[in-house]
Parts: sequence; C-alpha cells; structure tokens
Amino acid sequence: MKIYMKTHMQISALIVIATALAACAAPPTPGSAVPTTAGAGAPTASGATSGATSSASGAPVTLTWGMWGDAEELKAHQAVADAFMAKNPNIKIQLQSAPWDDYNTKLKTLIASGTDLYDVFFYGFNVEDLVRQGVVEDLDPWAQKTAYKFDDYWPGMLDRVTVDGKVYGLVRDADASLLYYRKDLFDAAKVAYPTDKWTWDDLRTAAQKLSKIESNGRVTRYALGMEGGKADAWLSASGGGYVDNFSKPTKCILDTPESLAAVNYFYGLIKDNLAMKPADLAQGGGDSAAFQSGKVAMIIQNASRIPAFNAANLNYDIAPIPLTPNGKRVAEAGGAAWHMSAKSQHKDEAWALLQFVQSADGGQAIYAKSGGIFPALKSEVNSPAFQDPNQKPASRSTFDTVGATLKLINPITWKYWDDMSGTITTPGLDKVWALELAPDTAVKDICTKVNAYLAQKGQS
Amino acid sequence: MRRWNPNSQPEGYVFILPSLIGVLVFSAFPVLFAIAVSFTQWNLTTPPRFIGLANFINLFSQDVLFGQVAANMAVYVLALVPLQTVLSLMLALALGRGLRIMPFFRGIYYMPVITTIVAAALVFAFMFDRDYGLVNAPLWWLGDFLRIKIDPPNWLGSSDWSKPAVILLTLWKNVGFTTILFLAGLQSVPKELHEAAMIDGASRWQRLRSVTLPLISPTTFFVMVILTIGAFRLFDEPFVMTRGGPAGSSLTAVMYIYQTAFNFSAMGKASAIALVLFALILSVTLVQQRLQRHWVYYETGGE
Repeated sequence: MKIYMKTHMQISALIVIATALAACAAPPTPGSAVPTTAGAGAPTASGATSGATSSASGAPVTLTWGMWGDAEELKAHQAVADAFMAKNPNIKIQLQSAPWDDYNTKLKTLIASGTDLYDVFFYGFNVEDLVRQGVVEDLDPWAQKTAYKFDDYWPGMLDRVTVDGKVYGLVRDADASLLYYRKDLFDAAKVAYPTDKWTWDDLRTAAQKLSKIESNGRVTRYALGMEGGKADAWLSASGGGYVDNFSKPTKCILDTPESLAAVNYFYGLIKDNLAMKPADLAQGGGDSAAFQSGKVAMIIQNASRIPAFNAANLNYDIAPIPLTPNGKRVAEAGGAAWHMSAKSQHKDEAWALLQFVQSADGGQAIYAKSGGIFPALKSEVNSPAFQDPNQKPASRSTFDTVGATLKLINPITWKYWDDMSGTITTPGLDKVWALELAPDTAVKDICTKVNAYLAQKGQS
Repeated sequence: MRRWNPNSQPEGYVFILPSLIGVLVFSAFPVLFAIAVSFTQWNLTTPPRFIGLANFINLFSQDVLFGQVAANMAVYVLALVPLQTVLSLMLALALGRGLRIMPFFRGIYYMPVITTIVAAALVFAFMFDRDYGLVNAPLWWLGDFLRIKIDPPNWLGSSDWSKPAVILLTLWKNVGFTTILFLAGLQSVPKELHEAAMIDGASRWQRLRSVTLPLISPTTFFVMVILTIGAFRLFDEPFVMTRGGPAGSSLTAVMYIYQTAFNFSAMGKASAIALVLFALILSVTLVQQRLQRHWVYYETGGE
C-alpha cells in the first residue's frame, strides 16, 4: 500500500514537470540571418539619391524594418520595400508593423529589454535617451562613406535627431500645418481664396462671411476647424511660446504679450463662432470628417489628410497658414524619423535601406505619391513628379513656401516636455478653447504651475 | 516507510502547480513589480532609478491633474452607485411581476451590456452633439416653439456636462446587468411572507419596505460593492467618448494611469497612482464590509 502511494506520487510529479518543461520551450528568434561577408563592396557616390546601393555582399540577408501604420500606410511601406528588394535581390525586408499605440509600447519594451531591436525602425520620441543608452547608430560616418547629403533636408529638419552635433536618424516628413479650404464653400460665400500673404485679419474677415449662425444660436457651419495644439505655430510665430529655452528651460513665457496675442486670437475666433471649439471638433469625428461633411470651410492640419480628401474627390486646395500681424510664419519641423539599431548585425545593408528610403528617387518619391506627407527632402518637393499641377491639391508651391519656414516649435527634445505639456499646458489651454476661462487669467495660472514644475525638476 | 497521513497530502501541491505558476507569473509578479516600480523613476528607455517616496509625495503636493482626477472620481462614485442601484432595483421590481411579456423586456434591458463599448460610445457621442444631436433636439425645438433663446448644454464640449454625459452612458450600458442580479435576489423572497403581509393588511409600499428590501439586502450589498469597485475602475466609457473630456474634466484614475504610463512614459508615477487607487478601493470595500452587519440581513442568521 505504502509503496503504491509513493510510486503514484512520483509518477504524477514526473508528468507535471514534463508538461511544465514542454510549455517553456524557447520561442524561435525572429529574422535570424546568415552573417554577411566582411565589407560592403564599393559604394558609388550620389547625392540624396538611392544611386547604386551596396548590394555587393552576395550572401542573403534579412533585415527587420519596424514602423507603425494602418492598412493604407502599410501599402506605401510595402511598396518601398518591394522597390528596394528589386534593386537588391540578396536583401530581404521583413516588415514589422503594428498600430501606433501598440507599436510604440512594443518598441519601448524591446529597447528596455535590450534585445532583438529591429535593424531599421521608425521612432517619434526623444532621441537623446536612445543615444545615451547606445541604442541608435551615429549616421555621420555612413553618410560620409556613400556621400549622402544632409543639406538636402529642409533647414531645421534634422534638429530633432541631432545630439552633440551628430545625426542619429533621418526624419521622414515634417509635421508642418497647412491651411486646407473648400473651394466650393468659398465660391458659394463669394470669398476670395486664401493666399500666402493672408494675415490673421484676412482669415477673420473671410471667416465672418463663411460661418453660418442661425438666429436661435445654432451654428450650421463654422469657418475654421482646428485642434488646440495647432495654435502653437501662431504662438511661436508671434515671438512667444511656452518656455524660454528648448534644452534647458528656466521659465514660462506664455504670459508675455506676444504669446498672449496668439492665444487671444484663437480664443476670439472661437468666441465669435468663427472657429469650432476643439473639443466639439474631436467629438464630432475630427477635422477630416468635419471638412468632408462641410461642417467647416477650412481646417489647419498636417499633410496626412490629403489622401483621404483626394479619395473623396473634394473640391479643395491648400495654402500656408496665415501670417501674424508682424508678418511672420513658422511650421513645425518635428516628425518621426528612421533610425538604425546600433546592435544591428547587418549595418551595411541597413544603411543601404535607410539611404534608399530617404532619397528623392527612392522611398521619398513613393511616400510622396500617396500625398499624405510633407517630404523632408528639398529635392523631393522640387521634383517634377511632386510639382505636377495636375494632382490635387493644386497649389504645389505651398510646400516650398512652408518648407522654408520649418523649425522646431516646441521643446520636444526636452525630456519632461511630454509630461509637462500633458499635465499643465494642454489642459490649461483646453479651458481657454472651451471658453471657460479668459486667456489672461489662464496664461498666468499656467505659468505659475509651469514655473513650479520647472523649479521642482531642478531646472531653474 | 512513511505512514500515509490523511491530513498531509503534499502531492496536492504538485497538482495545482501549473495553475499556481500561472497565478504567480501573471498576477502576483506584475503586482509586486508595479509596487517596486512605484519607488523608481523609469521611462523604459533608460534604466529605472530609485527615488523612494518621491512619486507619492509629488502626487499629493505638486501634481496638477491628480487633484482633479480625485474630484472626478468622487463625483463618479457618488453618482453612479446610488443611481444604478436604485434604477436597477426599480427595473427588477417592474420586471419581476410575472407577466408573459417580461422575458422580452429582460432581453431588451440586458442588450446594452453585451454591446461593444466602442460602438455604444460613438453612437452616444453623436447623440450628445450640441447642435444636431438627438438629446438636445427636443430642447432646440422647445426653444423655437416658445420663441425664446435656449442654450442647450454642450455635453461633450464643456467641463460641466462631460461627467453627466459619461454617467448617462455608463448607466445605460450597465443597468441591465445589475437588474438581472436583483431579479435573482427577488426570486429568493418566499411568497408566503408576501401573502402573510397582505393578509395583515400591509400596503404595497409597506411590503416593499419591510419584506422585500430586508430580504434582498445581501444582493443589494453585493451590487453596491461591485458597483463601487466598477466606478473606481471606470475607463472604457470616458476613454472612447470624451478622451478625458475638455481639460481633464471627465478624466478617471485608470485613464490617468494609462496616460502617465504610455503617453508621458513615466512608469514610476503611473505605478504610484495605481498603488494609491488600490489602497483606496481596498479601504472603501473594507468599510462597506464592516457596515454590512448593520443593515444586511442574512436569513441563515449568520454573517
């Protein structure tokens, strides 16, 4: 009896342990590839063109290429990958994509764990952290080797990815805002189309004729639909902003007369029912839906809306956003960038991919064809394909005008910017755009909190 | 040579080992890890840095949104728990009458519970539109009819009305679930007690107060506890419909944790908020437990 119980227990223990071990089998490593032969062959020199990329090593290589995107954006990425693979038959590209939130979470987790980071990947956040941790590769020596020109980028374009004077990534596009307008609604209201000389007052005058307000207070159409965050461009162009220094902020400058002028301008538009409250705009489906349904006659947004508006066959066009009263204009240069993993096993091939993706006759042309980006390369914007007036929107020169004004509007490279803007400045200004707090009270309140925050973080 | 001892059966542990490993790895370890992270500063791309109680002190003294989130949670809990309890009890009383059409209505009231929250929240977002939504349409019509200028509430665009909008959506979505719970509780009230009360001449209201409510008090207690915990954990409805509302007016604690962790990449602070929320829910539930001996009547006579 006793022996029977003892064997019984031993057998059951063995079964359980065997099951546990089977479940813990190590997962296969992704993208394992044959190591390349030394040297990348003779790279031919070319500007920011794809040229003859180094496909010299004969051994087959698989690169992992990580990015975010929905199904439409992925088609463009796949097209770029296919074009690259056609030119380099020995290199295989494995796309690793996920929706935006998931992708960023996954990427940060991969970085934190220090393993298996994609060879080339898209990243939109603070690059300095990555550099300090040795996650991303310095691209200057690579650019020198293949004579890839950094000055083909719009001025200020690479500021976000430059740390200690070295370039650590290639920015794909600018987040620059454009003024979209419905030509049919402008025609119906007999208002002249926006030009690149439009000022704040011109926008306001046109808006007064475009907004349709009924006698009982209901608004059937707003002239402008704009997210609250886009007002930062006017803040910066007026000579104001949130903090005094982008790398080492010491105090808040939102309460200066220049900043207050910009805040008052947008507040005034909302108050007079000329612009939609940003909260209403978001709740009603966003600016794309509002523009397409005719609920607003103009929106201010980056180039990502162009494919949808083209697909819907809207009668619209674009213009630069209006100038401030002192004739200034800025556009946001920030945008996500392609980086190379410093621990990549195939750096030659990864650089070949990077160079192709960020060249006017390679990746940039394919991305720009869908119309949804503001290309980072001057040569791309000036290329005949891009300037073709037969494509919509017709005012292609707007890109040149805006491109010349690109710079970083917010201190997105400062490590506390996300936290501070998310908890203090954005909610604070949201109250102004919701017409619940007057601008002068709000900016004083925000500045008090910002200064306290800066003091606490040891910045001032 | 070991004697088999019926009080000690170590092989039992071997059998629960797979399940135990699951609980330890997926439940216990993340919780302990989160507690550990709450004492650090960590943004995922740089290694965590130990900072002691700084996260907690910062939350209560300096953090700008935490006070607002706490105020929002108070409103949500104090509004949702009584409203949903009373509403679902009323519905259960109405539905428990035994008429043949009642199963149809039971289905209707339970359907919102099984709809996807995203679809429901989107539809409600359109219904709450100030100018053209269904909810404000009668108010506009009334204004035109009486020829006075009515200013209907801007449900999702103003700080004052965003919480009521979220509360309305949450009530609509979840009242079916607690109604079913109350229906089950009502079934357990013996019919003889009702008949005895009627013979004694008790009115409907007196019967409700003296027979029904005490006998369903265990169900009521259960409903209130899960509603309280659910109100503290509110996330889906405000996240889809208002995204935290204009200027954080409908921001809930779990949304704030999500935002801090994934939008601002402050893992330590997010873990600290989660720990504070856990402590709060635990204390409120313990208080409810203690209070139950005063008003919850268990027919078995025990507690």
